Amino acid sequence: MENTIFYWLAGALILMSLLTVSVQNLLHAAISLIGSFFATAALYLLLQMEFVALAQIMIYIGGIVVFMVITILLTAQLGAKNLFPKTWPQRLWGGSVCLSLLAVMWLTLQSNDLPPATPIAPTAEPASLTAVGFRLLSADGTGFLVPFEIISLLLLTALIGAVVVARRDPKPAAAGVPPVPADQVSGKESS
Amino acid sequence: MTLANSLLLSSILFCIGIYGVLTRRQLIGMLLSIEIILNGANINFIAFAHFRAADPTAGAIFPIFVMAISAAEMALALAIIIAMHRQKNSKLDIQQLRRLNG
Amino acid sequence: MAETFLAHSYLVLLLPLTAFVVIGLWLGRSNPRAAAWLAVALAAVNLAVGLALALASFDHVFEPLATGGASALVALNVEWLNFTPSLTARLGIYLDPISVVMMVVVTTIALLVTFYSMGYMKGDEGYGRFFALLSLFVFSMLGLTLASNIFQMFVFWELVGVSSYSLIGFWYQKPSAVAASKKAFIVTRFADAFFLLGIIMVSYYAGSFDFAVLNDPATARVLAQQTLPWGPGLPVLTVATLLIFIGGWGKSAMFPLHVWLPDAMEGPTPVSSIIHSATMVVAGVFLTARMFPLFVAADLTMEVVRSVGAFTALFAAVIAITQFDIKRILAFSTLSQLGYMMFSLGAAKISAGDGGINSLAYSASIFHIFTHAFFKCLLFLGAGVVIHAVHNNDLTHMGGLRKQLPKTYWSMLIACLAISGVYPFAGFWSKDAILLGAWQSGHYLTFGVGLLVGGLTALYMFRFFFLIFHGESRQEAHAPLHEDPVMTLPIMMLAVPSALAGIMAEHFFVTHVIPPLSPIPPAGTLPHAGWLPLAASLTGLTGLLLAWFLYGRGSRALVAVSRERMGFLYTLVSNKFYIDEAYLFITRRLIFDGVAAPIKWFDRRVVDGTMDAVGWLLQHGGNGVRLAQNGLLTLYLGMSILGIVLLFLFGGFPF
Repeated sequence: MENTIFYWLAGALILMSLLTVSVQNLLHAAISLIGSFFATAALYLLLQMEFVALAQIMIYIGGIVVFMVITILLTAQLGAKNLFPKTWPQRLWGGSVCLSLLAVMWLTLQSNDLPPATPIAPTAEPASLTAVGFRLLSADGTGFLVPFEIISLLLLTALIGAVVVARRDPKPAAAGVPPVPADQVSGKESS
Repeated sequence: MTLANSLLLSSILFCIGIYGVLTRRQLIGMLLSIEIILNGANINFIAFAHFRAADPTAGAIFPIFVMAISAAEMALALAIIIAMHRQKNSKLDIQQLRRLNG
Repeated sequence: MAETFLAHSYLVLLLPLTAFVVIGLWLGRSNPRAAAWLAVALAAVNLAVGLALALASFDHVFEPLATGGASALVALNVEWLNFTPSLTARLGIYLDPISVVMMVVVTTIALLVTFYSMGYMKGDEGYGRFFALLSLFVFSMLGLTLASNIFQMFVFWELVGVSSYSLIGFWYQKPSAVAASKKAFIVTRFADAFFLLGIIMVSYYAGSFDFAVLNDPATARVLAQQTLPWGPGLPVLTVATLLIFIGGWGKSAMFPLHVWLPDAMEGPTPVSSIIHSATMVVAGVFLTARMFPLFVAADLTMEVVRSVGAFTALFAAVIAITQFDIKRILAFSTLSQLGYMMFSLGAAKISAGDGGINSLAYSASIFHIFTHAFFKCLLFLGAGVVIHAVHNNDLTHMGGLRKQLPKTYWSMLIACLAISGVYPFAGFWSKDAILLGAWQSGHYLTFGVGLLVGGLTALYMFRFFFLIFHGESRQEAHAPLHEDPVMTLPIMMLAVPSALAGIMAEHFFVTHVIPPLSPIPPAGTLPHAGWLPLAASLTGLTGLLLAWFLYGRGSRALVAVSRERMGFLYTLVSNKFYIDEAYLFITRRLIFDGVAAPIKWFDRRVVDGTMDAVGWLLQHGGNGVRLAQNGLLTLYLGMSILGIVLLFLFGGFPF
């Protein structure tokens, strides 16, 4: 039973991901990505990782992808003709590179003696919500409080940075400062 | 449902993401593909945590950090994209952004 | 009081340095006249400081001969470079008999020459620059003299070389001056390379740079027991002292490294006077005297010192007879006198028995440095006056200047008598002491050469003197000549020590300026040759009279005849034995064409060719690689993945 579900989920995941990278319309791609994330979340549940599954749905789908969709709507001029159609040489090049990488990884997996196939009996509880929560915030030797705080600082910084970068300049550039070329703006402002 | 299968799945996702990065020309499209790569990596973590680790909780926490960092990264990247979009003539085309020479 | 002076002994170095910095950086260009006055004022203060220092250290330094060896006083010793925990280069001021004597000589001559230069250099474009460089020289020379260790001495030794170089090439518009400065620098530098090797060797084996350690007889004994770890087991002491001596060899322009000194006369005359006669060139002699306890322990080195000195004395004196450029005559005369000083040091080793030390020869050498500085400086300054008046260096354009330049005439007469060793002028005493020293030590051949050179000295000096001042005038234009009082004043002041330094200081030098070793056999036990002053005077007078007959009475015919008789010999001598040509042959033909040219070819074609090929490859490869750096993100990513694939395929992974 579990196996069947796993294979179905894996198939759906791969399909959705393929759609994400191959459809021309970016909005469609983003929607496929949502599907792919849902499949991933389901896979996590199957692997008894409830907390991660929830986080996957809330952060990725509820946060990141929604943000992306908004950005796509803001910038990509939906309905206009696709400006950058993929060409066959491009696909060939990308495909061959990917397939060779996949082959390498597959061969590595095969050649490497994986540890015995039978799972070691977990000595601890499965990663339940409570366990993860306590573990994340405990300040004893095994906890992750400090990384957690650092991550929160990082997020705050990223937030401020994003606001600064994306902010519209309140007034036009002062006279004497040469206009910045289009493709150098981001680098300049984010610095 | 074995470790090997899960690892293969994560590799496949990883390669799909790479394919997307290599073939897309829009920046946003590339960002979507990067998410897929990260997703593949997360599955890898989870798989090892589930099948191998004596302490699956620690394995579960790592993807959470990955998510947080990728959220931060996305926020900045999208902000940059918006800032670039404001410039006239910018179509968010990776081939037009060569002068950054990153 | 004495303690205060000793505590501020650094002033004697600081003052000329201040003059150099202030004049060189600022005053020399903005106000050359003020610069000159500043230089003179500081030189005067420096003389006062030097004398005060000498007096303050007098009781500590000048031990009477009876007490056994000279002692030294280290007035200042600052740690400077710490090479290893056990080997430290210090900066210090080392006062012992010879350094005090040299300090007094240098500061005195510096004041007089600086003052003189105000007149001589008047109207020159580089007026300010001249005084800056002169001050730099005085600073370096004093640093060399007062160095407390051999490393510091080497540093100042090179500084002296640099200031000499820039002063010889002072008129850098003149190609000959530039060539002469380069020649001087290269020749002395060549010798200095050996000097440095010697320093390294000595300091390695002795474990110290300090003269206080190096001059300890125990050090000499330690070095004498060692042999070099490579080669045929040469003794360290001999090799190291010879290497060090080569430094002095070049600086003091001993044969065959003498070639730079006559050419150095291209510099302004005050420079020739202070650097190339009175002070810098005696640095080689000074070095030998400074390292005397070490040198004297090496028999071969002392032999070399003595032979080189004696040969140079004779060789240069012979050449001086035939020269016509007055400054060159003086240059060769300087060479000859340096030879005297050198062989006197070499003769301090008694040849008979197991080699005692004759402190008289050592004292005589320093004594001769002292007296020679005065009269040779006078001769140069006087020659400067003559050149200034006649606007020519050539003896054939002079003559009969006695009436026009009376003060110069009388001063120069005193100096010529002094250098010729006529009683009771200064040179008589020092030369007499040198000859006596050589005779006492049993070096009879050296003694004979010294006696002969004494006669030759009188001959060429009075030839010089008579041709300038006597006979009928041979100038083309007969403009009224005059003597600048700024220039004649130092000359007349120098005439006093030229006349009296010998008679007054002889006793002091012989009994107080002694090597830092106890003399063996004890002083005063060596036989005294009472007939020697007589013999020396006689040879001197013979030379003088010969000069008078040949040149003084103006019978030019006699000169011409004798020149004809000795045609071949004369040509040989007047061309300075073709030493310069030999150098040119060796450097041009043998080294340049024979060695340098094939090496150059190899360097250009093979070494450079290889490098060029590598460069070409890199450049074109870079051009190719540049295409890959097109800023296309996807390409970068794809390439890095391909890299991983290739790594896997070709076995890069460790699994």
